[in-house]
Amino acid sequence: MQPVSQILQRLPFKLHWLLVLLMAFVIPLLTAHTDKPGEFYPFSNFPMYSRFEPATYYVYVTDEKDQDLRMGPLFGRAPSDVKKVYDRKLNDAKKAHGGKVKKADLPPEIRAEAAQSVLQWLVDNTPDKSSLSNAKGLRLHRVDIVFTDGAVKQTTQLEGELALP
Amino acid sequence: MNTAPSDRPGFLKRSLSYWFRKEDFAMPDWEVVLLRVFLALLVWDTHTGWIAFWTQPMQALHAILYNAFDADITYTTQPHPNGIAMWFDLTFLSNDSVEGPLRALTALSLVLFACGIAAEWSLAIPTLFGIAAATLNNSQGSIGHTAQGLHLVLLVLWLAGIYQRLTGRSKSWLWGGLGQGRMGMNWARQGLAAAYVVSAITKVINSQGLWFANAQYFSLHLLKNNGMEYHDRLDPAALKMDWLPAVLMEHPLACQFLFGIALPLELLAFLGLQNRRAAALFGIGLICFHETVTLLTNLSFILNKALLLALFVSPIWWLLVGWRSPKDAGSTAES
Repeated sequence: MQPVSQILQRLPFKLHWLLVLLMAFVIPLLTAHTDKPGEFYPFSNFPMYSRFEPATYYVYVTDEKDQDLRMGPLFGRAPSDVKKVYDRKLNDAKKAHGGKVKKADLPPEIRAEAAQSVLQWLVDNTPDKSSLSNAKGLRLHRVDIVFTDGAVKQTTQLEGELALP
Repeated sequence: MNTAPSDRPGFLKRSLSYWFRKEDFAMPDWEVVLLRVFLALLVWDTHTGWIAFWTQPMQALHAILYNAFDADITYTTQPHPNGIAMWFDLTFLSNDSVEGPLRALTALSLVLFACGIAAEWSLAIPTLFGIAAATLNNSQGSIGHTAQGLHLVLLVLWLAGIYQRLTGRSKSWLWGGLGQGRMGMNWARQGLAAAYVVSAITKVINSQGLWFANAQYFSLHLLKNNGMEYHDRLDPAALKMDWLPAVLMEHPLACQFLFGIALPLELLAFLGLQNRRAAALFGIGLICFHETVTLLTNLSFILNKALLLALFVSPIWWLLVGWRSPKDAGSTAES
């Protein structure tokens, strides 16, 4: 059997394979204890769309009268970012509850607390705070998309709200 | 000397050899220069967002020249530190007296990189500031991958410059030289291919080998992405494809084919490093896949598409050099 060093010497595109090893195996191993294993910017194992399940969801924000808001221009964050932040809050809450309960089955008051902290984070980081002066409050809504009984079903529910001064 | 027909390798062997034998990319000088300018512009997009206007040249030019003045990092905390933010507090970047000069120096550095100043000098600030700013952004609770491929390529280009400096391959203290540029682009291509191969490996691991089978549920993500796109700007056009998921769920094989094809394309992306033909093949395949996903889900992938176009497809090289016979093309490439 050829010594490993000889095989490595003949391996083409060494940098490529070094990066593959680093991003696919080493970093996920070293970051396994974090809440985003595999992510160490600009290195990533690109986990998005790596696992499809028959259920997913997204969130959006309205004012206190349930009027839709243009989230991107208003908050400077895409709805996908807001969903990821909310999902992380639910993950934290799930861990605090011993990790046995599903995120969707967390008590409404816990979800409302998570939603409120996401809305507060959005307000705190809004690039132009005067754009929120007309709103008396913000609401976070959740849209569940589920494939069940041979059909796709969507349901929307209010997760939480934040009163604005 | 002609090979007797009976001695000729079979069609399959000849085809595999044609597409996948290892050949030097033999980048002409002008291609290295063009790529440096193009990559500098791509990096500048992460500070200005000018690519959003790429179909309107005057607006794009305006964005390139002026949008950086409006760019502002607002995060004063990093509640979920990612990457180097686990060790360093990067919130100092939100201080305008730090951010402004760093962005100005980034612009100047990118111009110097495009002009040929060695990557180890000219890419230091764009790489460190770009990655640090994106890391701070990714330390807010959500991980974004929009510019991840570009920042990976940028880091690799910078490291290629440092490597050549440390190993004494740089001929001039200041100028990178076209040889350095060729090696940098070669490393950049390897870095980009690695991102795709890793993405495929993760798909296989995370789905426990069932990624292709479960790809039928991708249609649920179409609804999710279109819904999020709508709420981003309240543009009804984002919902124009909402009829499709139901159709795809009724025809799971079509869905599996549409999205399942991504797995072999990504997993074998390293074959695109073998030669120009394979690079173009995989580059076009991956761009087509990204474009399909863009049409269906409104996810842009514009930086990935641009990188694939420049580093893998190289349309200008094919127009000016590639269509000629290999002998002619080779002599031009080495000039």
